[in-house]
Amino acid sequence: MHISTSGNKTDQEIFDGLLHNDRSTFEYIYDHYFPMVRKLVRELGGQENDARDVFQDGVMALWQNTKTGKFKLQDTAKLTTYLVQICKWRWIEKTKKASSVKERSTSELIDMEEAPKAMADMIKEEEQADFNRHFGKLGQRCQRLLKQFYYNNDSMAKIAETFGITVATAKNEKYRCMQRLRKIFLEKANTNNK
Amino acid sequence: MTIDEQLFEKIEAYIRKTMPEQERSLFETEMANNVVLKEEVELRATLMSGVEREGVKSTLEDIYNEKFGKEASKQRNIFQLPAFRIAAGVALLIVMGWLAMVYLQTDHSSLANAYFELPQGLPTLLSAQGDPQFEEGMVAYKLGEHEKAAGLWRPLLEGNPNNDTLTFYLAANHMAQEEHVQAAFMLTGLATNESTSYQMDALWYLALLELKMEKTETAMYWLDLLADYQNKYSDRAKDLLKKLQ
Repeated sequence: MHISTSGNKTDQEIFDGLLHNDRSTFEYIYDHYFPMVRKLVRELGGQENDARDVFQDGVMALWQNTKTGKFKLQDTAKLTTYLVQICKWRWIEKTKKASSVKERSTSELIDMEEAPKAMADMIKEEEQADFNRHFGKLGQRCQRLLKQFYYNNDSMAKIAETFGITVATAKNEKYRCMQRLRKIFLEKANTNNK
Repeated sequence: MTIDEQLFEKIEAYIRKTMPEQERSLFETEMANNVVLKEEVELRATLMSGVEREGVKSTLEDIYNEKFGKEASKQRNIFQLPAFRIAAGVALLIVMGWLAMVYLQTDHSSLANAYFELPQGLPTLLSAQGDPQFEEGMVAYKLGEHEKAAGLWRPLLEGNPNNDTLTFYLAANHMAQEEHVQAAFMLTGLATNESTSYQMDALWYLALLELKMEKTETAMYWLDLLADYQNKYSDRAKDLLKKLQ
């Protein structure tokens, strides 16, 4: 007898949902696992914001590892266990960095260090924050259009309909938006190299 | 490098794997001979995956705000209360905390002890593991030689970290040595794993361990899960919950 019964997604369904950036899958993950992670983080001395950040980092890592093939259903533990472990590990890493690991947590570090190496494949915070800054420099319209295409995987026809423009104009806008993003990205890279 | 719209689409088709096979191999040859083009493709892939990540990030943020944001802001609103109300609240909490320390702390711990019974262990002759080292560890566990059991089981678990039987009994071994934190950590993995037959056992022991560690709220969370589904622990979980409320 397991806790998850009717109406629940299987690991395979969650896995496929992540591959397709399916919003209902992210909602499902949030509904079912955030309360648990929040409790764990609080138990280890964190606050609500910490729990939210750690959970989102964990889901991002799970998503990324699913996409890149680093996480495979057949040769790892249960997907959700993997997620919870990533979050717990992430929180301990964060507190460790902040040099504020509480006495109670140190004994857990011993076990956490034995966690699968795959957990280390977190998205680097700085890289992500850098990209967020670049992306934020684009206008709202560009951001929306690019997300619709690269994240939602919407067709150009659908995007054209959403924006009330022709497919040709939508394609051209996407081209211009990406070129602008490229320029911002390269300018920053050149500044860093100087 | 100047990227016209045509080359832009070509690079995109290559990255998104929508380019026909023949054109793809030609494009790969071109990249092999043109470092600038290769770098351009890599840059584009970085930007595309960045946009996709940005999409995931904002989706997660939206979901949090929709589902949990109100709850969190309620908690934040506490800080917007007038100072005297906060002071009164703090004073009340101190008194309640003191009362809880005096009257409840030992009660919860002893309550957990009243329900606690160490897992008995598997029959060694009929063990499904069929591994002499595991069997020897099980004999040691039953004899109360917990350090020996740990010494035999830990290497086995390192070689097979997903083995739920080993995880459970190593956790039990930690419990036998009053190593609550280590035991709770191992059990958390099992308690959140819907495919193991040890899930309910893990939830039950986790709840008791939390109580022993005076984390009543967390213990009640695990007990709630157990009480909601028919299983060998559900009656005890309900009973314990009543006593805790």
